[in-house]
Amino acid sequence: MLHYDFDWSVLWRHPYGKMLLQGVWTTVHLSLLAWAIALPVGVAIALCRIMPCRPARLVGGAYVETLRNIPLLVQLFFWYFAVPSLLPGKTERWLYANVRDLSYVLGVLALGTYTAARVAEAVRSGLLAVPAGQFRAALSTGLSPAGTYRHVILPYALRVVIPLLSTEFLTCFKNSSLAMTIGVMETTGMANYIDSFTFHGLETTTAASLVYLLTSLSVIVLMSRIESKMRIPGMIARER
Amino acid sequence: MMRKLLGASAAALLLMWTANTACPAHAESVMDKIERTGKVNMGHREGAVPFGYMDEKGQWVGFDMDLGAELAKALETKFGKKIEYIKTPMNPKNRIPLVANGTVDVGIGSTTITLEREEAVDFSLPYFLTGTKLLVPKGSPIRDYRQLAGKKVGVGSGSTANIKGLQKAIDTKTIDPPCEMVLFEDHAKGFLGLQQGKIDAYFTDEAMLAGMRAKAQKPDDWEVVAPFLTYEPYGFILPRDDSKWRDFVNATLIRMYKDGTFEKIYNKWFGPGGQLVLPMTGEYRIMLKVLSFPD
Repeated sequence: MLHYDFDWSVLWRHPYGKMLLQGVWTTVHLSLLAWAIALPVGVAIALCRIMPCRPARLVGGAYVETLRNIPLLVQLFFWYFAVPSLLPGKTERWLYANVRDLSYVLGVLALGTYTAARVAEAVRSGLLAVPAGQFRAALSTGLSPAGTYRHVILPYALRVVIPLLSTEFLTCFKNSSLAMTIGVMETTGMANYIDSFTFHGLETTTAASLVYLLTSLSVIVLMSRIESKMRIPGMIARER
Repeated sequence: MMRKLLGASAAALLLMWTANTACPAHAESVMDKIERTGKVNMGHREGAVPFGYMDEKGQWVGFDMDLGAELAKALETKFGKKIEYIKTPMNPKNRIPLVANGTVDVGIGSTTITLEREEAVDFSLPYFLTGTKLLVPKGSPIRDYRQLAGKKVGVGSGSTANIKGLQKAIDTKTIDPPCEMVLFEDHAKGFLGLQQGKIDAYFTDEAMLAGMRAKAQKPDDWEVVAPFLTYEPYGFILPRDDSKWRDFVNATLIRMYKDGTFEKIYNKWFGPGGQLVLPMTGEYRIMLKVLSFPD
């Protein structure tokens, strides 16, 4: 027995339709920006972790184990409430006075650095999957070790981990919803916000779920295309 | 394979949607249910001093709970038997589902009555009247809404409908250039933001602001300023279209307004020596008077 009348018009009627679209748009650029941080940082950290140089391995290991073992929610609070006050001198005041949408900026940084740790592990697994013979063969052609990584190992490893990376991207996209806890009005935040005005939270939550589901499905379709294009001949992947 | 997958998910969604919109046939009134089961379930807030909170002894107490106890007592008198009073934790995120699916029979927890919300649930008569003001650090140049121009103002994202009041003040150029609204998930985080200097003022109901100030380490470092921007009448959240139950709740409230029980409970929490000193305003008194319908 549900004493509730569904009113789906909250999803499009003024001003809520526009608010919801704004939320979806925020989700899109928030997760893309975070991904733009996560991918290069993640690859760099993965390379650090397999380098013959011990300090680099330690730094890489410390980064990954710290960031992936603290819940993202806690990290968001850390970035938002603690990081500004750790900054030297008057930087904190300056930040509050001059940066609009500080929660958005810090949300991108938190999500980006966290996802980087996960990307690093995915890429590292790809690097470890490259047979040792490839490395030696590349060296014997006269390439330097750095050149070997750049021209042989990394392109190989990145192609192997494309399926893993698409999973990580989807996780990043869905994790962006946590940014609402520091006041970023992305899709989930907007859904809750509209609920506080209209008390029609079931409709807005359903809409938010659909947005995530449909966007994820289209990313999956796109990525499966890329996967089959980038497939390395001779690996066990079969034609579909 | 992909096409099959998409087809299956579309079917699943359609199923979800139809299940959602299936309108239930109207069943028994909450009144009959309470009489049958001998239990009444009420939703209350856990972190809103003094409406519903954990006291020093770890007891869940508050103004809302005392009103709930009166309602339970009235039910016992009505049915002439013992009615068990069950308390369920309620917050702005779960309050509507809890009432809509019948887990709680009434939600008593500082909820503002608005016309828009009335379209989704039913409300009792108002039992509390407050309005929106600003919390600022002592000695702040902000005294009124005009001075918010170009400043950063914190608001709670989930719990208040009064953000619209602030938006209106911006739209009508009362606050010009517009202030930046910084959203916080709850009032406690908003107060932390104010302490850190992230925002210049925090905007919400006076009753909430007074509670935030009282909980601060040094309450004297903070002050509540400005006249009311909007009025916020609180009501109990009730299930839709159950006039038998709603009439009983309203009648109980009216009786409490008339026989002085309500004022006694109000003074216990908001009077001198109460958890939060907030003397009843003249407008509040008039509201109660107007609601004191004859027998």
